Amino acid sequence: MARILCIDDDRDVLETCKIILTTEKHNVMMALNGNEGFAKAKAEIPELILLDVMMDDNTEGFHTAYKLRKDPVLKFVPILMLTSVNQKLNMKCNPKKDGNFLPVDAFLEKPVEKVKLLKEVKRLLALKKDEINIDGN
Amino acid sequence: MNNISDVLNVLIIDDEEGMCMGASRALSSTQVFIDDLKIMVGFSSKSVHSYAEYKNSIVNQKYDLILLDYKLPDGSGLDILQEINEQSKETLVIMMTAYATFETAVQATKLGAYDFLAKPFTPEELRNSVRKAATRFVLAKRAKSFEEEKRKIRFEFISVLSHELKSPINAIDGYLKLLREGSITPGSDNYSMAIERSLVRLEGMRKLIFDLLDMTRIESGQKTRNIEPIDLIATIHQLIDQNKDEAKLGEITINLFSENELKMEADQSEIEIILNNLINNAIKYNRPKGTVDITVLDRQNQVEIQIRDSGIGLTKYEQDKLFNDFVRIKNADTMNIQGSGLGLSTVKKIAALYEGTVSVTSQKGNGSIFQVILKKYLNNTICPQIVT
Repeated sequence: MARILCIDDDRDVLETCKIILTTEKHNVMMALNGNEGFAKAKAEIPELILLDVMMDDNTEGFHTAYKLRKDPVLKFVPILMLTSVNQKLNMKCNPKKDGNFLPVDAFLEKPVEKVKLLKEVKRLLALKKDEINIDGN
Repeated sequence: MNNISDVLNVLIIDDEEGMCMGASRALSSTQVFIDDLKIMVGFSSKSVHSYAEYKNSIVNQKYDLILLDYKLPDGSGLDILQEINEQSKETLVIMMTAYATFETAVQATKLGAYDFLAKPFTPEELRNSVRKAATRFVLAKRAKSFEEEKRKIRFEFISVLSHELKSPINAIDGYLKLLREGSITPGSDNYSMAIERSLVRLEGMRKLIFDLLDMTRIESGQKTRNIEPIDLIATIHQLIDQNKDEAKLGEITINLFSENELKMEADQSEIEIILNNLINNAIKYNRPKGTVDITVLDRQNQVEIQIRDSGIGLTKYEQDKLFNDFVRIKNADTMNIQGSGLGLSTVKKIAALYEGTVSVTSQKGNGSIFQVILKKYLNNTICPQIVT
């Protein structure tokens, strides 16, 4: 059981993640944009963050990831980035290609599938501090 | 008028040094005003004297205009002309020749020369030819970049559109799979939520498709516009009636402040799209038990419609981007409101058809006022009120 923060501008993605994560008794917090998400992360210090890429701006998720990694405490919280590959034709960064340059720990494609999400969550929650991808390598 | 906003690169290819110097001098003192674009164009030139030098000169440099001699010591100008036209469709070539015959002129034109100067020519003749070529070059370049810009905007529009269509599909897909595998059980709170939300997302998608059709019809100009005398006030009453169920849900009061009748010449369906979007937004983004005040002001050849709501309001940042395609203001206040993000951009496009504007004044938390100004009579129809 862990405290998990989901950041996505689509309320239904949040609800779906919450339902899935609750089946494993996780405690789920939700935020609808990057700023709100960062503020909640600061206040609650979650153990894992699920982060959408394309919110108000096409790259809002990336900016939020960089911001989280600059925070002395939050930088050790693993980030699972939710993407929808073909969705981001006009985005500067292709997560498939540039994935290893972003300071996130894993990518998960939408629509979010229960088995895959729970498997990734379990793996990421088990990461040690020095295994977190802080610099995007 | 020395404000040169564009400098064209000219290459002079002639084996006579005097010719090169003369042309170069004439060009350095030449400027062309492109009337359509209101810009001044100047020239920067370089001279080469043979086919071999020409080949070297184009390795690292692209030329916009080329003054080309017919006869070179190591080749024919016509060969160069042919090469240029195979490589670049943009470069314009002016052929210069002392052997000006009808045949050579025809041949050069066939091979793609833009103009033809018979030697000897005066600096003024050269300038005239260069002016014509420069105008054509600059206009063609602008047209091309405009086309590219249009393509880019279209591509971005489609990619955002695909995102907007995929999001509800993903949402519904997510709920259905949870229902199928039993993570959501019938009778639970999540069960009714998942079904309600799926229906809401489907409705949003339907609305997006309708808005998209409205927008493309207006943008393509395909829709036959039926401009006829209409009564704006009657139209507003009818739209208030259409929106009354939604208003009732939020216990929102709609007030109309206007004369009993206001005639204008317009396409009924276009005016309905504008006002319906604004009235519907004023209800959707309002607070429970709020008000919507619609004020219509008759201003001789214009009509001003103000729609004021007591709703959630907009920050300056939100106001600035509000009228762009697919902009939806997403925050905790708007979380449960469905919209396509195309409504206001369509309103703006239609208002432009009436030589009008749409604008917003608002304060976060303190309601918004949308103001539409439309011309009452289009196509130079004389406004009856000012006919004496």
